[in-house]
Amino acid sequence: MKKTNYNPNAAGYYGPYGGQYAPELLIPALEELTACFLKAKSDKKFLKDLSLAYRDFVGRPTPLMLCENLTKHIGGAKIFIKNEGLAHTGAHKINHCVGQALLAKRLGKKRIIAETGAGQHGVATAAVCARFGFECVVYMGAIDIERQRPNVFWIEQLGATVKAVNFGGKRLKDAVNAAIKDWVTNVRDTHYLLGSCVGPYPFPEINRFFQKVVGEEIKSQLKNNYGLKPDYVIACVGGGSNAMGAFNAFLADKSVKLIGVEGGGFGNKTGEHAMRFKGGKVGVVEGYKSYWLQDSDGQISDTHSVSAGLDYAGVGPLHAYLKDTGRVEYDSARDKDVLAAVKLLAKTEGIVPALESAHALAKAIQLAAQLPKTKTIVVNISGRGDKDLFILAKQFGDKEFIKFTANFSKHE
Amino acid sequence: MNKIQNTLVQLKAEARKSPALMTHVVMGYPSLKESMAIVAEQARAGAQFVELQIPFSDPMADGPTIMKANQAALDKGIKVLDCFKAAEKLAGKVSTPLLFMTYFNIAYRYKGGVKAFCRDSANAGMSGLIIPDISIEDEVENYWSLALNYNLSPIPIASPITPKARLKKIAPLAKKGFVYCVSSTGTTGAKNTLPTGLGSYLDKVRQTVKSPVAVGFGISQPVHIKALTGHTDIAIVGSACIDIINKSKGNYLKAVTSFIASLCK
Ligand SMILES: Cc1ncc(COP(=O)(O)O)c(C=O)c1O
Repeated sequence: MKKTNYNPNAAGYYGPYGGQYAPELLIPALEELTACFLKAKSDKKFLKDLSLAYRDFVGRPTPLMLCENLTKHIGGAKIFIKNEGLAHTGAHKINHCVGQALLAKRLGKKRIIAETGAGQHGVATAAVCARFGFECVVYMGAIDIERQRPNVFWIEQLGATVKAVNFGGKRLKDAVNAAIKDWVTNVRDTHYLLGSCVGPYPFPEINRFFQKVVGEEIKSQLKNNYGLKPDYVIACVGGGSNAMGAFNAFLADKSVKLIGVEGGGFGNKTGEHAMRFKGGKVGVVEGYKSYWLQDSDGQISDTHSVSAGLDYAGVGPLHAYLKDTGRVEYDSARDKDVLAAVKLLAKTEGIVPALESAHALAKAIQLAAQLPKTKTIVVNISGRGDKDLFILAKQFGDKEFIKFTANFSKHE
Repeated sequence: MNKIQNTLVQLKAEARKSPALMTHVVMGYPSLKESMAIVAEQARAGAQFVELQIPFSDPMADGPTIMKANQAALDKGIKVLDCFKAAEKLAGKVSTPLLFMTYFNIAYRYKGGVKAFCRDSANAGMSGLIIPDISIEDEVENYWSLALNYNLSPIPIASPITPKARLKKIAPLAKKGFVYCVSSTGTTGAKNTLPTGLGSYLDKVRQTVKSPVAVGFGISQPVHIKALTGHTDIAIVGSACIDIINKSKGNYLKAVTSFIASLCK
């Protein structure tokens, strides 16, 4: 197994993690996708189309901002945020969606399916399908639909169909399962637009490739606009796509510390958190080998996070490898600290982060206080908080808002 | 030779026209005791092979019927070890070859790993393994050679979209058993009609694969089995076996008996 620079080997393994543990029915499609991707990633025309889509549709580059007020408030290291919340559709998910849509075009596919947790990946997928001309079906756990109704509405307005998943825990993992079943059935004309750095090879690598622009921008914006280099880059880790995007450009430079933050939920018992690196063991599920929250028999456990996007039992295989090699440090943030972080960024900087991203922020706030003012932290704000309106209103106990939702339907 | 190989030799010697039958049970569904009784009854009523599925929380190749049965069995608290104990009892009782069907994580997380999973399966009297999410190219887990070393028949899977070059790679893996041909793209689940072109797809597989072939996914009725005559050595009836139990309203063994009898006619 030859490995260079955190690249996967020919069988799709990062160290011992990853691989292609998929039913035979999917292997031809995965091979076709791999071949297409390997060719596209060094094809001038493809890269031109991609950069145009990044610029004109996604709105790249997204800003990198020094949080002067927050930094002063905490009184430690300088905190910068990379604001992926200003990318079209409100999160980093759009980066791998445009990339995969361009690949699907090359493959001649007519239909795109996707799973979604928070709904961000669903909205981004629906948007690229409208833009690039694909029929689109988005699978979403019934519980996530309840938590993220606004995104369901937007997915539908963008012309896609949302299919509720009513089995298992009715969340992200079950939506992945349902999407895999659809793909197995319609594999000839359908592309599965997997929404994170997870799944069988080549998906983790494809999404890393389309997300790496985030870290490249962080590097050049920090240098060109501020003459700085980051000491820390911090990102939340669900499946791991926004974190891979933020980290990738810095992997080779060991002087930059990288921190991934998992959903700490509200406790350490099974079903109270989504800390794969604390409570998980190595397993093979959903087509790849990585850390999974599971019982002693290998049955996948229930998870919890206040943010649907981090509420997932597995984690991308490259993250597992980065964890083992020590290149990235993984920590977690509790729901209550995450909610406090949302409030603080809103009040100090005028920016409402997504609940997922607020995990990274919570860690940054804690870390900044312990560091001298000379240090520089970059937090990847993977998305904006608009989608979390209803959850936030409920979590903050906003009586007037709750009254509003109750009365809304009574008025014209 | 294991029991699967013996049965395959016997089937060949009989020069039977209609395909042999492999049935399916989710261990622990509706309960462990009942699932054991169903295995025994399927074998007694004429199934030549029986698949014992060890339930898994994320059965990605299974459709709604089997998925729900997996979930129900797990909700009742069935453990992997319960399945091994039940299998051992059954293997001592019936002469029909039994196969464990499950997903790779169950074998991977088994105490002692994949090797111990294979060893203990063989020791429990199992003759074969069906694991849909391990690749035929696997070189990391050693699954194929471990299973073969313990005198088990690991069953490789082929599909209508498997190119001929891959079929050639699949063929040698089936040297102790058969190739499981998935009838169409999709997941498990009983269907009313067989996919068009199934016969010619199977005929093509048989041109490349020397070992016997089996076909499964969607097969649920006696007419399906009749239609497969001459195209396959084994017909696999999975979800339909569970549908029969779900519909039987209590008298499940009688329902199993008459269903299997109708399929074997
Ligand atoms: C805004 C946002 N951030 C982060 C995530 C977590 O996913 P990943 O770890 O792949 O970035 C999601 C997932 O839905 C999300 O919507």
